[in-house]
Amino acid sequence: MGNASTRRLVYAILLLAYLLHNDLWLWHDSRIILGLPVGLLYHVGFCAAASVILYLLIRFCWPLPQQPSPAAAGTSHKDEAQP
Amino acid sequence: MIIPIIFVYLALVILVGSLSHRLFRGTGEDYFVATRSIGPFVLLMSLFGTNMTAFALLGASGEAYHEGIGVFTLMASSSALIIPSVFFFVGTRLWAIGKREGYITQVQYFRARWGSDRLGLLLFVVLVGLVVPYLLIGVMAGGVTLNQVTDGQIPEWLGGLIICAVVLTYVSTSGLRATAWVNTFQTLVFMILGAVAFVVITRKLGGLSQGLERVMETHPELLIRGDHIKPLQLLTYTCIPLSVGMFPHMFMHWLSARRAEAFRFPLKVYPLCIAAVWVPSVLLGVLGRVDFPELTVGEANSVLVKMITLHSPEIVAGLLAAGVLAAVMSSLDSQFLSLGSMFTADIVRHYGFHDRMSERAQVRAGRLFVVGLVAVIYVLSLVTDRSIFKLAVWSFTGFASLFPVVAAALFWKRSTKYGAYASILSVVVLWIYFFRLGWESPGYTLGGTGVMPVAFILGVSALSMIVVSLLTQPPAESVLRKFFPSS
Repeated sequence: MGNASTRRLVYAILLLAYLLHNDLWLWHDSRIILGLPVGLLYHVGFCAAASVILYLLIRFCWPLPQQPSPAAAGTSHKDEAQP
Repeated sequence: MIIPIIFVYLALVILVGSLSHRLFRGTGEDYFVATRSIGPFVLLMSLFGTNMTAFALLGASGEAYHEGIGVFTLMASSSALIIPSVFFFVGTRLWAIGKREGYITQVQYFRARWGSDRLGLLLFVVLVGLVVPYLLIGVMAGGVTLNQVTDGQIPEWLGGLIICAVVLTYVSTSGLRATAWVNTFQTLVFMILGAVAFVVITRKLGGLSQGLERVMETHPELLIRGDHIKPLQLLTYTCIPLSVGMFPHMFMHWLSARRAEAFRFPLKVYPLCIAAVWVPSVLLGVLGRVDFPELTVGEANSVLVKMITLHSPEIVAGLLAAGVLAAVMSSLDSQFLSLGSMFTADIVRHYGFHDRMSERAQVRAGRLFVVGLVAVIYVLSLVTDRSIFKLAVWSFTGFASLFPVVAAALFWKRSTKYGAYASILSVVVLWIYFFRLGWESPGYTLGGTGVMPVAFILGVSALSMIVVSLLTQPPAESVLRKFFPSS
């Protein structure tokens, strides 16, 4: 869990990503880059960036108190059902 | 050859459901929330498989056929950021409250949060009503897929019926545990076979680059957003993924998590899974414009299946069609189950019918409710000829517009039941109004500006919640202590 300023920074990155989703500058760009139309490639990259942002949120802004691991709490893993 | 492959696949799905039945513990909590025992990987597959429906495969490719690559921008990349963020901010908190208070449905939570029985009943009716168009696209997609891939040997009416019967069979067996495991199996199937379909088809076209060159020559407008999408449309479409915050079937899957930490892996991987499924769907829809240039809006729903049958050997086509069915069924099952759970918990048990009914009879009542609802949806699927994408967007619009209800319940102590009433009723009135306009002119935006109705309804819904809550009496201290114990 990060301190307050780190958390604010991660939330700011989240907001920035939301704004950058609106890539007006690629609206009429028909170039093919890395085998994909650039307007599509940008948003594939956006998905990868979203994954990183979620990592940061989990790392620094986790909303719930940490729970002890099942092993530490003395419970077994049997509940992780297998078919 | 295709028909036997498909029937073998459907039998496999029922088999996986039956195998997971061995783990069924015979209790109501196990049937409805798998005794809150699901780990990170199955949780990811359940959440993702449930959310990736006919909309992501047939809907996305059908829409991209007409509108081009911008479809990915509208729904996929925005969802990649917003959906896991909603899981993060809303899902984890609801999981904690659900575990602490023993809830299995949303209505139980909202009813207790604002201390209002009638509010719960209103929400029940609204949520069930909004699930109808979502279920409708699943049944339609099942019929379309089986019809197209068998070259008309299985008519659409029979295809839809088969899919409904298979899903109802394994959902009835052992509830959420079967649903989670079948979802895991089917999500892997449609992700792997989706990738295979993409590779097989693009190789047949001489590679993706060559395929895109052909599109560039004949329909260059499909490779840019251009006039297909307005900037305001892109901005306001980002409201749509908020719908996951109010989906009954999402709530049910959140509650199934073993620990809060089980959310971490799904949250990080979810955006990548979205890209893995949507990129091939959108590109195949765009490439399909060259091979099938004159499809209408309704016909474009099946462009993906048409591409598969045109470019793949028969055996591969059968497997790939099974992948499409997997995506369809992995959503229908959770939706069926959540409706059954809601009817059992929020109507049968809540209104005291359980005094006169055994636990088994209560679950049976839930199943009968689902069968009745599915019958109505099945009939609707026979007479509906609309874009799967646009039908789904209307369902999502309603759920997304209800987002202020869950946000206020979790984050705003001062919110009141009257605020929640005002918010829900404003959504009902405005949704019906805009749905009528959208039905008459598909692709409707506010005043032709590109602003999606969802942005307007969401704004009014939030405003109604705030204004009416502030004008009415604050909630009791005892309620606040229960739901905000740390403050």
